[in-house]
Formats: sequence, structure tokens, C-alpha cells
Amino acid sequence: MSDVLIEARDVRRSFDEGRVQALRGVDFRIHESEFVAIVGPSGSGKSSLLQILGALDEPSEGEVFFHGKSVAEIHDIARFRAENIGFVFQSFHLIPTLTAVENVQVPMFEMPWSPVERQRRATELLKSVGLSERMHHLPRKMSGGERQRVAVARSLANEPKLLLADEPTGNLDSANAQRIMELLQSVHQRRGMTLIVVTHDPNVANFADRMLRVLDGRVVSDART
Amino acid sequence: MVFLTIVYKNLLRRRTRSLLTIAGIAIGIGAVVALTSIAWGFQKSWERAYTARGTDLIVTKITSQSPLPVPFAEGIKTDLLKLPRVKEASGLLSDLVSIEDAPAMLIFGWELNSFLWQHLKLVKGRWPTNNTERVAVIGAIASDMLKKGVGSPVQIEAGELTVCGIFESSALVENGAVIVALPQLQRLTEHTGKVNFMNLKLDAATTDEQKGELQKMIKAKFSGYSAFKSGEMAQNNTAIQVAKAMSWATSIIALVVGAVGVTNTVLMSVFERLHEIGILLAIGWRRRRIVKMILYESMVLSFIGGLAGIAIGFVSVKLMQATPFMHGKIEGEISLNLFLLALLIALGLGMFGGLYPAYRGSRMPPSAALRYE
Repeated sequence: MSDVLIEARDVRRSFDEGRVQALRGVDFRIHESEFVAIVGPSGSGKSSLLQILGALDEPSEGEVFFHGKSVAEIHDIARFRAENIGFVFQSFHLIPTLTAVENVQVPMFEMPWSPVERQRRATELLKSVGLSERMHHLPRKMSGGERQRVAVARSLANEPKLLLADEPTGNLDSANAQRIMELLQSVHQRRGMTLIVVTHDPNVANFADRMLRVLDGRVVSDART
Repeated sequence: MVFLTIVYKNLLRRRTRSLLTIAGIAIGIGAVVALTSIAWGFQKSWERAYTARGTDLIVTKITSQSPLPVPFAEGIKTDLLKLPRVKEASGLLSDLVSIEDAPAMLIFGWELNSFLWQHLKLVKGRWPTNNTERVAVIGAIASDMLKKGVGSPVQIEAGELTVCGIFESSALVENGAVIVALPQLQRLTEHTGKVNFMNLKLDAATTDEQKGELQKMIKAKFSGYSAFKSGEMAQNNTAIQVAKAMSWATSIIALVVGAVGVTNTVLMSVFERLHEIGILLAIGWRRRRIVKMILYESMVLSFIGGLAGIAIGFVSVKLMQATPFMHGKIEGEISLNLFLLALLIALGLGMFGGLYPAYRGSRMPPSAALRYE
């Protein structure tokens, strides 16, 4: 088995001064190049878990380790996110004023790349997700499926080690959902990056190699698919 | 894509709001430019008057905040002439008087044979020839304002004089003034035997350092008196200081209004985009970059507003100079220094106006910002 990329140790997260407990002690290890689906009904705590794994939020208790190092001890967390983690969101979250090729370049500002290099990389990425014809379109001129492709290209901008997708097909019809999942799967296979998808859709979860089922803030099952 | 593309496109989201903010800044900066231009021009004009007269040092008794120094006995001249390097000394009495219907005007009493007259150009009539004749020469602008020509009688305080000549000077303050022989003004203002300035001409070879030594010597030797170089004199002129202070006070009000406008616009635009800022943080932007983006937005607004304001300021000074009411009374200084100062103020305004919005925008935790939709 390859090295452990990310590990959660007794991760707990409560809100509203402890009155709402989203996570009640979660433990797991995810290895490099794994494709894991985190499934569960809404309100089960899976999105809170994803935000903690993506270093967007901190656990109330417990620790997350990335390559064996505690995330809590990382000094420059923004740089850590920029260099290691790519996000794909349910609502795409593209910047509405920027074209597709510009949106893909946004995360690259944190990398030591020239404008020409940024443009070249963004063009390549959009080609790889099948959008070479839509480079200069604004998000509002694109279909949901196309927007999510741009978001996937953007998540790959800085060549992250870990890709986190939060209900990536939630706003898409079944045909587009199928295409986006195939795209994520091929990205995972070609680039060998670790992919964690949060979903409540069994069709999406079936693409993964492993499924963590979350219920009431706890992992209730962890199985290979 | 460069970073400024993002900034520029953000500002274009709400064009009307951005334009209104730019207009607000432009009006503020325009006011600053116009007022400063007039205040600086006023000072320049005095500097020119002092320099054109060929005066190296001006001795005066500054005892109060009055715009004109208090008169002192002209007998000091004999002692001043004994000082090293002093070639000539010439007493000058100046006052602000009401002349007929015109508002307060400057009137100068000069010694008839002094070097002070040499820079003036006679355009009509003649110069006064002796100390007893009751005549005055008036500047070209004063002639326009008073509607007086050669031979016209002119009522000054309680006395009446006849205009014997009209002159032009390189300094606006002199062009708008009346000049008479020193004893005549002493009589009219009841300051017999008194002057309020003593103009010294030094050896041509005198260095700046020697001038400085002489200034110290005068201050030490003649209690209550000070000696100024012509540039310093203009800076120490209370009227100029008041004009400058008023221009700054008005400018500061205009700038505060401008800064509040910028802050409001940028803050609104940040609040509208909290969700988007959350995304930028989530995809790896550092808080520093968020701060930079918001500050750039506010500085781009104020930079454009500043350029427009400079144009508005310079044009309004030109227009004011051309109106009959102001003509000859103001002389705006339009210089690269003022342009740069205004631009710097505009950028400072943008920086200041953007600070709080930038702070607010960048403090948001990404997970919380992502929840704003």
C-alpha cells in the first residue's frame, strides 16, 4: 500500500457553543492515489468533514495529518491549500466576471509563474476537460456541465496532491453528472492524485474505489467498492 | 491574465457606482487642486514681488498675527547701512486701505529714489517726481478695477490724490496695488516717520551663507526685528499663511467626503462579494492577496478620480481667472509639483478608503464566507 496522504484522528466539530455536533469523533486514513467517496444523508456531517480535510475549517477536537504532519501546525495554511488541495464545489463557484481561461488562472497567482505560463497552463487544462472551444466565454454563457468542467480545470491549476469535490454533480442533470464523474475519474487515473468526493448519490459513489459512510457525525462503515 | 485584470473587471461590475465614486473623488481632488493652486499662486506672486524689487534682505518687526507688520521708525536705516555688505536700504510702508467703492486694496509708500521702482514698467503717464505732490501711480489691474486713468482723482482714506501714471509689474500683487511716495502714505495713514519694511540691497558678491550671518546679526543687534530673504518673507507673510491654511482646511473637508465615498463603495462591493472572497481563499489565495485586490480596487478608483479632479481643478482655476469678478485677484499656480501632489493625495485617499474594507474582506474565515450565498 502507498503512503498515507491524509489521516483524521478523533476529529470532532461542534457549532453554536457545542449545542450542534456535526462530527463526533471521526477516524480514518486515506492513502495516496486513492479515490474515496464520503456518503451520507444531508446533515450527516460529511460537508463539515470535507471542509476540515481541505483545511478550510479546523476541528474543535482531534487532529488531521497531511503526509504525517499535523495540519494544525502548518504555519501558512493558505499556501498549504494553494499547493496541495484542489476544490470542486456543488455550485461551481466560478468568478462571474472572468472568462473560463481566466477563472482557471485564479489559483495560479499563488505560484511563481509568469502571466504567459499561467495562460499556457490554463489553456492546456481547459483542453484536457474538453473546453478548447469555450475558453473565452463567461460562466453565464455556459451550461452547468461546462461550468463544472471549468471548475475541475481550476481545481487542477496548481497540480494539487488532493482533490476534494463536494457534491460535484448536485446541480447537474444525469447525463452531465455522468460526464463530470468520468472526467474526475480520468483525472484521478491520469494524474494519480488522491480524490475525495462527498455525495449522497449512490451513482456517484460507485465511481470510487472505497466508500466511507457517515451518519450522525460518525463513520459507520468503510468499505471497498 | 494579470492581477489588475481581476481588479478592473470587479470595478466594471457596477459601472454606475464606480463612476459615481470616481466623480466624488474628482470633485474632492478638483477642490484641492483649485484651492491649492490659488494659495500657491498667491505666495508665488508675493515672492515675485519681493524678488523683482531687487531686495536681498527684508527687515521687519513681526509682533502680531496681523497681515502687515507694525510700522517702526525709519531712523533704523542709518544703523542698517553701517552693517557689513549692506549697499542700500530703502524704507517701505504698506497698508490695506479702502479706496472708494473697491474692497481693501494694497497701497505702498516707496522712497522716490530707491531701487524698488526699477522693476516696474510705466505704461501711461509719469512717475511721481517729488515727495510733496499729491499723486499716485496705480497698477494696470488696479486701474481696471477702480476704473481710473491718468488724471483721475482717487480718494484714499481721508485724502485725495491724482493718478499720474499706470504701471505694470511682473507680480500680480503689485499690479493690483497703488504706489505713492513714502511721505504721502505716511501722511495719509498718520504714520509720519514710520515704515513697516526696510529693504536691503547687498553687495553682489554676497553668498547665501553671508546673508544668513547677516540675518543673525540683525536679529541680535536690533531687538524685536527680524531679517528675511525674499522667499522666506513670502512664507512668513500672515496673509499667505491664512490663505494656505484656509485652502488646506477646505481641502481636508473635501478629502474626508471623498474618502467616505470610497470606503462606502468598496465596503459595499466587499460585502456583496463575501462569498466570492471565501472561494478565493478556499482555492488558495492568501489573505494578503485579498487585501491587495481590495486596496487596488479602491486605488484604481481614486487614481482615475484623481486625474479627472486635477483636470477639473486646473480648468476651474482658469475659468475663475477669466471671470470679471476674480480677474486680477487670483493667479493660480499650475505646476508639475501640484499635479504630483494631487495624484499622491488621490492615491493616499484610495489607500485610506480601502483599508477598512480590505480588513473586513480578508478577516472572513473561508468556511464562513462560503456559506454566504
